[in-house]
Amino acid sequence: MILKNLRNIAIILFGFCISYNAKAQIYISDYSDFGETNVSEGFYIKNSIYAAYKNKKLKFSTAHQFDIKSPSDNILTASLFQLERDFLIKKFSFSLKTLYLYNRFSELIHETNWGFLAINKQKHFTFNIGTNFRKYKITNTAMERYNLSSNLDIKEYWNLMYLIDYSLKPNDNNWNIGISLTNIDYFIINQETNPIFYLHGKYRLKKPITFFMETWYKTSGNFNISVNYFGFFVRTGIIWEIKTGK
Amino acid sequence: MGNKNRQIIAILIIVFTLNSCDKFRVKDIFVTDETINERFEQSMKWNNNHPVKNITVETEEYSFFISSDIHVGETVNLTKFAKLTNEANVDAAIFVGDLTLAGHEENYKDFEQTILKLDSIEVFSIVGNHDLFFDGWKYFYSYFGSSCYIFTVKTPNSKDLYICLDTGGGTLGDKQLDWLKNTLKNERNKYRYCSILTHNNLLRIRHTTSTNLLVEELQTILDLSIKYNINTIITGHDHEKYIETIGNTTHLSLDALLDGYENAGYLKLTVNSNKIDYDFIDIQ
Repeated sequence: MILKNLRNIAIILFGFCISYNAKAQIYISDYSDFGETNVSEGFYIKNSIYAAYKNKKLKFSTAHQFDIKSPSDNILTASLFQLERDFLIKKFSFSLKTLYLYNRFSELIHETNWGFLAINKQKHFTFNIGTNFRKYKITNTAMERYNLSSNLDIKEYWNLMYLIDYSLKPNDNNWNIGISLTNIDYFIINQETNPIFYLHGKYRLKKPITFFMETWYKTSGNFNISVNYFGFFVRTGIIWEIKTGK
Repeated sequence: MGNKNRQIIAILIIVFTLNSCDKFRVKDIFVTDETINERFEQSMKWNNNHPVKNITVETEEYSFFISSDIHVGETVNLTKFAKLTNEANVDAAIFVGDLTLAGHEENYKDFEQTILKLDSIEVFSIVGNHDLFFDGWKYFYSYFGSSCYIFTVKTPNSKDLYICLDTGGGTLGDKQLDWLKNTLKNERNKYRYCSILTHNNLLRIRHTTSTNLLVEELQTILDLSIKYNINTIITGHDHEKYIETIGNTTHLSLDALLDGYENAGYLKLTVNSNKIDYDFIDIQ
């Protein structure tokens, strides 16, 4: 029910945005993750679609993840909604983003996150810093099946979100490679003491299509100073940029 | 020679010198000698040669004393704990990890010598991240054996299941997770209560520099907790106690028993036919 309502809101907002007669940019992306982790029960495949509408300083985006091969009972396993606004103070440019992430990783318990990020993009570096509030909530299915009526959720406050990215070429170059350190991905916000490295690259095949690829290597126990392998995946996809208006 | 080159050479000399000391290895700061899967395989080998421990009690009510993060080094609080455990006549003493300060053999020896003072009480130990430092796993294994096992308690009318897990490296690992799923699937419905004991706390209730399991792994455990009606999950690692309940699962994280720690304490777990009760007790 919640998902249906959110989807409807997203469609209405998106429809409003693209009907507005002004110079604007639309981004559509499709990408797939192939990998394995300690919890994936072997090789997994996920596919995600991402759409963003940017009009002057405001950008609205939404993304949805579908599990093709994974231990989850659900196919649509996560949805993300983000609203971002650009600011320029003196010569310092940055943007502020608010996000809502709904993660249906299980039939019995779901996760929701509200978060806020400040983003600064420079020639080679990108910095994100923010915080999120997480809630795990038992689903109606679990309540009925296991006769649960109390202690239905658990919350985590003020988790630090961060990203430090270095790109070899300026960020707007036709091709690029880089490395990032972060605890956030589109549909997973890890706790602040679980940083992950990933390498990324992009190549503008033919305007307006860009091909990109990322390789993520996940470890556990970093801040315990007792590190173990957790998982590895490759992400590959395309971004299509559409300019509308004059 | 430029300043930068001198700095690099100085750093290399320090690293080389530290690395040649047998108490310190740079590598050990970053990665354990054995992976979680290797520790799991060794634990399963141990389990195959040692039968599952079953504690039989004469009444429907029984209790344990459980402590964590003792970090031997010093053994003042551990000695007090042993004395209190003997006086209380509980049915078992359980140590959920970070028995030692840095995994050195002398720490393990001191820990073992102190807990030998526990008279006729079953003792269960679980490995923590500190216990794995500097090749510490081999000492844990030689003194205590498996880091992944079950034990049971049988009362006149019921029996309860306790599952001990290794999260010393911040993850269960895929093999241990499979083992946990199979154990729950095949065994859970034979028992009244089921509790999990492991070192690394699962929920991040406050900001600390210590690491929890990755969110993907926490999600899996929360799902299993509901599906298999896990009654309690008892952990340490955070050094500060907390109690959080979701569904039928109560997460209990313990105060450290570490010497010099202001809130040093332990947990008394009392189990009877109506419920599982818990008391956090200060050691001072």
